[in-house]
Amino acid sequence: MKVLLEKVAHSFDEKTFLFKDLNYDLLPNRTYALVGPSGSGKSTLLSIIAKWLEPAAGDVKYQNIDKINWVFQNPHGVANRTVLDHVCLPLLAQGNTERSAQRQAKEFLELFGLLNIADSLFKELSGGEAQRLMLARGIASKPNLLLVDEPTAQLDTKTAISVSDRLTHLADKGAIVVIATHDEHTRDACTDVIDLVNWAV
Amino acid sequence: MKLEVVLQEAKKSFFSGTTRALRYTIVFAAVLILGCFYDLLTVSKIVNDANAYISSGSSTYIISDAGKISGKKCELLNNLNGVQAALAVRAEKNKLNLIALPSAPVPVYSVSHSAYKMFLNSAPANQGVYISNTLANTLNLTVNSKLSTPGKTANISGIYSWPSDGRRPGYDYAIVSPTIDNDVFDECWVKSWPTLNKIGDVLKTTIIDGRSSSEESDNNSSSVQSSNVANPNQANGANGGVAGSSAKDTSNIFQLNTTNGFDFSGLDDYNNRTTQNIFFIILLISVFIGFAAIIIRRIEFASAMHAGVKKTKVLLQVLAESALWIVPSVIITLPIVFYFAIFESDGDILSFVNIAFRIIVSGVFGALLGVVLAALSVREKSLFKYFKGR
Repeated sequence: MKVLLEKVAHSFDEKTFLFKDLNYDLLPNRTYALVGPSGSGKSTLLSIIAKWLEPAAGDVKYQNIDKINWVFQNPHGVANRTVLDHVCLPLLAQGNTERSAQRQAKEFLELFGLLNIADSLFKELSGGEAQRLMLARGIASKPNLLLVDEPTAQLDTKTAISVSDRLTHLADKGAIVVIATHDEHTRDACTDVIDLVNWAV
Repeated sequence: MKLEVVLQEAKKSFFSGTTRALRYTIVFAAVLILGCFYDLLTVSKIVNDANAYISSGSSTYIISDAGKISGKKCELLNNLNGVQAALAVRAEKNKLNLIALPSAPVPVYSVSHSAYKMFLNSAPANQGVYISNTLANTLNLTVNSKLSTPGKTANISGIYSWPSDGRRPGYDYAIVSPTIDNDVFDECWVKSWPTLNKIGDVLKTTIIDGRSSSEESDNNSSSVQSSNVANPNQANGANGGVAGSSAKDTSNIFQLNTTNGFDFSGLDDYNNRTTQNIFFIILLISVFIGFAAIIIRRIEFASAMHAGVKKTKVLLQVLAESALWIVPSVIITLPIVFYFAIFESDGDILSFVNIAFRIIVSGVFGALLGVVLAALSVREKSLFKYFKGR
């Protein structure tokens, strides 16, 4: 299982490239910190890795990747549904019964320190809680490839370290985790660093 | 994802208020009700106009040929489809002197037995004469009162109305006296709806000498009063309104009331009414409502697909959720529209229900179409775009 980035490039028009000739193999059990200054194309590269955006040049190839999840920088949930509902959904989609889905969902919530607010509505959450909820939901979907955009942007240092540990823990279970981040702690917790400055044009 | 889980999700969305079912129920029901009312009111006006046309006597045609109308033949016309009343009438030469009004003799008309269909709403309970309400008011008489003349008393079995709406005068202060059908009369009246085709031909069959209508037509011999000419399309014997030249034919054909025109344009009005395509407008509005109800939640559904929910399951879920505002809307609409139909349809409830049904069905179909189109347009890969564009 791997993701191959082959001479990947992105441009806003055909002349101006944001990055170019990016070659990289993303492997399981690894956590990649995608770093670079603001506007360097971190989120764009995540879109390209997810195959939601065509690269201007080059190619992205999957080997045995069938489930991708992307956790955005800003959380998006259903205002009137509970925290538990949000994490149950991917588990129900996997064919679990309601009871089984709830049991597993609570484990994921506990992992991100959200179990005590399982019955709260999404609209009642703080930014940090909502962000952790999206991470819990992303992990609950049991992806081969998890793309995370600035997961610790809205978290205090202590929580950010904890979240980084959790993401690293997911990689330990065989997933490929790519985290776009500015945060030093998160970057340090990752096994590899992809600095877009190296491919900037 | 199992079907019961999909339905469970739909139920949770409904009860959490995520579906905004109440809002869409109100909006959709309002659209359906207004759409139905808009068309039904238009049709109702046409029906009322038709009723006014009929009740004013405009759809009543008369053949007049003094002493040559067979009461029996005229009565037979009651068996024709569309004929509401066919009666023979004879104006008696001598007016009746009433004891209560010795200085104001009252005109008397002898009529065949079906006259009640023209003059009264229903068959009278007892035998007797009919008097106009003007006369009844003047003498303070009611049904079953006695009408006294010197040496004779008659039972009043009916009181009729004869408004001054342009109909033939002479009956507004009169006595109508049913007599035997097997008699000779001066006129045959036929009230029909819709107006019989070739009513002139039909009326001429009541003339006693047995001249056929075709003979009449061939000879172009029917006399037609110029001011009361029947519709040439209907009164064959009165083709072109040309007065007859034959000395043998003394018949006239005319409408009881000419003030509303020869023909009622109700069918054309109905077929050309601006509201007849309202079902299509309702369809488009409903597509928009259904589409909007789902598309504003596109992040939620794209996110669900991103979480692993298949698009078919999302489609099922949105259909189930949409049913929770579409069905209540229809349930609200039906009794309101049917109540209206019952009271405005003037007996033809089925036609009104048919119109309403067509509008409601097009609305429901449109809403479901909008929901499906919106659900199909939501793509997981567009989640980031939706998210950035919110």
